[in-house]
Amino acid sequence: MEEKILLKYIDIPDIQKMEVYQKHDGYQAVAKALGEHKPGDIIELVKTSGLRGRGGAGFPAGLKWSFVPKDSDKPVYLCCNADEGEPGTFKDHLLMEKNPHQLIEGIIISAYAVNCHQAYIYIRGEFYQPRKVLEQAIKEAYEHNYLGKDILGQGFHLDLSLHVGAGSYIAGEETGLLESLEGKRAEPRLKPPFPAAVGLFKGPTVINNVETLSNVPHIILRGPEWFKGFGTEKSTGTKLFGLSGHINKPGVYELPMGILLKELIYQYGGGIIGGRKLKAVIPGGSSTPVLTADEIDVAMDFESLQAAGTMLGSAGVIVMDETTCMVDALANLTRFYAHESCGQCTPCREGVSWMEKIVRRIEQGKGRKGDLELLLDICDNISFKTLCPMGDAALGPVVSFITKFRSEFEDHIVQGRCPIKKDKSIKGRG
Amino acid sequence: MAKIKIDGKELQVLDGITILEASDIAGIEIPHFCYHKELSIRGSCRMCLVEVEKMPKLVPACSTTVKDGMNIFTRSEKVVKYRKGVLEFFLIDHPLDCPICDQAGECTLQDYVYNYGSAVSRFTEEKEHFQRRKEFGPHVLHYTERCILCGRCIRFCEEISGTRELAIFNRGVRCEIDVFPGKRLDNKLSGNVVDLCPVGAMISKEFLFKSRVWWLSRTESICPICSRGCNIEIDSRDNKILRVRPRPNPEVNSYWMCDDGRFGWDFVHREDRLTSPLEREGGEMVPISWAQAIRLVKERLSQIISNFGKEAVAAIASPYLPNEDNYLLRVLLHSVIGSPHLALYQPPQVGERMVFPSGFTIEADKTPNLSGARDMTTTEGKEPISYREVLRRVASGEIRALYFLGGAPKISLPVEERETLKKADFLVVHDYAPSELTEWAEVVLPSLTFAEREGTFTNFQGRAQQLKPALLPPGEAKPDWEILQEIGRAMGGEVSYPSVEKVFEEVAGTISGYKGLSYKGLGSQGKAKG
Repeated sequence: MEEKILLKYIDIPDIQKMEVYQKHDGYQAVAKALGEHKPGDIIELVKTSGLRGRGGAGFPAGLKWSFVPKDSDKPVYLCCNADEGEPGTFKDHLLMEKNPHQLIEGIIISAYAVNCHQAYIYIRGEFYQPRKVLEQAIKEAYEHNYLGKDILGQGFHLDLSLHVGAGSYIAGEETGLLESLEGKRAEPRLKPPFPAAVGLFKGPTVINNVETLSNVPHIILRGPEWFKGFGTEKSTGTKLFGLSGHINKPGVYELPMGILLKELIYQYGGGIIGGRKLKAVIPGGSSTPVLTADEIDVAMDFESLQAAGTMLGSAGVIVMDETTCMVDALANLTRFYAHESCGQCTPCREGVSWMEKIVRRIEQGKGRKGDLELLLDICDNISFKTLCPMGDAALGPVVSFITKFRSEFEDHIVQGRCPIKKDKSIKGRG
Repeated sequence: MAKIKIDGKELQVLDGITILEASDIAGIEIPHFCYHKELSIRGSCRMCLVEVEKMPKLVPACSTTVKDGMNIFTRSEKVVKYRKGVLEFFLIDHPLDCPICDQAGECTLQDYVYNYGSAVSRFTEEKEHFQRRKEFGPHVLHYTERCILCGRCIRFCEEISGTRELAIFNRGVRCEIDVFPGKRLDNKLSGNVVDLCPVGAMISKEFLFKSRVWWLSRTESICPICSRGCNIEIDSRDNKILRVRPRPNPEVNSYWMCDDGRFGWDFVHREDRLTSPLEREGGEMVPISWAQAIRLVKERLSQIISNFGKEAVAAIASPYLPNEDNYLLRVLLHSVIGSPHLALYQPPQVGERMVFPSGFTIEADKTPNLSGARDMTTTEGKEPISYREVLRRVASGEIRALYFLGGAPKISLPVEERETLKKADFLVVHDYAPSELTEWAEVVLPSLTFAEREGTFTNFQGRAQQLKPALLPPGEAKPDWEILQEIGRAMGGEVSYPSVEKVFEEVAGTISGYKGLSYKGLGSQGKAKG
């Protein structure tokens, strides 16, 4: 069994309670960071560790922090993005529900590094249980002076507020999150300026994912070199992989970056349900391009997946077996994106909804010759032309599904019906 | 300065301006919807995307600033293809009801599709449907299905009027603009959202189905409803005003005007407009010819002058009338008759000025030309007589004849003023409709409203601005300056002003502050007096 970082104490009973967490190295990283390091040192340590953002884009965390201007006359803010909404992704939910103090500790150290005195956790509205757990954990952290004024007598003060999200996928886009946090509609902002310069309430703002921040205490406590011992050269550390779909053992797995997708599915996930044949895998959450059964000899790290034409994204691995109708699956995915488009920019608002209607029509056996070319052309008119990355997220599956499973789409159109013998029983498994 | 190239055209522009601003300087059109000069940049319509050398993606021209050496392409293959694509997106959920849409003919979407779009749509699915028409407020209707969600109206209500009635509701293709529950779009600037709307989503209730816009005659003029003097365009057809819209003037009204001015021109089409000179015969006002009227005024004035002296004649200038008309009253009184008693009527001010967060202001002074009329009636070195003093001397019998320029039939005189006016031996009034003044007049001479006349108003800032006639005068009504000239001639004066321009020229030569100004030189935006 590999060494774990984030999920190391996940099975300790009551680890979400302060006294239990403290017995397992809890808050030692905060003590070390505040007592032994200057803020700039922390940024350097995190840079050295190679820690990259776990929210999907994989941007180096230390580098992101270093963009925060040192001489801003506005307060610096830190926002923890806990609006986990990418279909197929459920790792942050686990981290918050099971080990909230690990995240709070990460937030304190990161805030210290960027000279921030007000941090927020923007948590997805539907996450009721993690919210209750975090509320309690934050209360405990205040009681133990890990939050509030003059933390551990080191002169650093930090307030942490838990903000319950307003329920939309786009609130997880970092500038959409900021708008929502300011009490407005979650509509992504035009960039530049980037949040590090002008973010929340126009102050410099760092936005990090739950998993990213949860790694920080471990890097401080055990050093960047130790952290770099996990994973690959450019994708360091471990990663939480969320396995779902037609798989025997779905769940969250912490494994070093670079593990083979095949191993993940067959060794850890226990293979395909009922011993059926694998058909397709979405490797990094619903917006990442799909891989066929022949393409799973790929290492699960940022570079290898990019080379394979897809992305690590949020590492939500969605497994689809031979009973899956790819047209139906795509119609379902596209419906999600059409429903979640904030609607402010035209290509995403109109284009994605149009695509949904076409794909649904093909699935219903009413497809026409030329529909696939039309879909790909709509994708071209959306691609890199929207205000935020949502447009591209929506067309990731469309382009890859049509390209890689074209004959299946054509069969629908030619036969005027769905030729796949679907097994949707997986829905009932809860 | 940055040296840039747009479509091969080299130009030097200021650092930090956007590609859209630079292309405007270069005279190259980049289509756009959500961008508006006076509103914050939203960058959401994605219409203005252009190609820039060495940039991997197309970039929004509205929000991308130019850099030295930038090579911009607004008509490259990539841009042309994308424009077709995004216009197709705009149209898929658009009802394409141009034949019944008020905006047709001045619709940005229509123009862009015609210029850059595709004649055929590939969209064969069911369009999204919404409630067809919503009433947002007393003046504005919203045709939701035509809306392209550029959000200009919302930003206007946030940034310019500061009233925040509008927002986008729902998400994705179900997005629609609406008023917040329990609110109405009833702020004093609400009509501006109709102008701002690039398509026919925001529609003026007053203009609804009134005319296809290409039948309208467009006349540049000045709003007469308050002393700000917003620059306006009068759109008329068949000698009727159909709508009034603001013309941009950064010195006066930016791109805006208030609803009082925009919808407050109904008096022009009053049923009881005066169409011929009237003479009092007992309790009745009887129409007479212009020749009879001029002769009558001349006889009565001469009679009073010979019985009581020149100083028994007084004239009251009007802040509702242009400079030229007031100036000729002065010529008549001072030069022809030789009386010093020229006063200015000033209505009592009710209410406060209304300042909006953007700085746009509706003035408390509801006369368009108080400043100008004051200039025209002030003679250097002479203490002007006040309106109140004139009334006092009428009451005491020192003043026997009163020449009153009206121009505002809505004015209401206090009872004691009316009683005083009755005491004058001779009262002659110019106005375009019956009023409390015409009620007591012996002779009423029919004049014009702002919409029919030429001349200049000097606004509260001291800016002289030109009115142009949009309509023909009703019946025999004439501009005041012409009437005054005829009376002057009848009285034996040598007055010869063939045009308003000539009157203005003399004003520019006589009245301090107006020196150096020329009528033509005022242009469409006016000029500040010295």
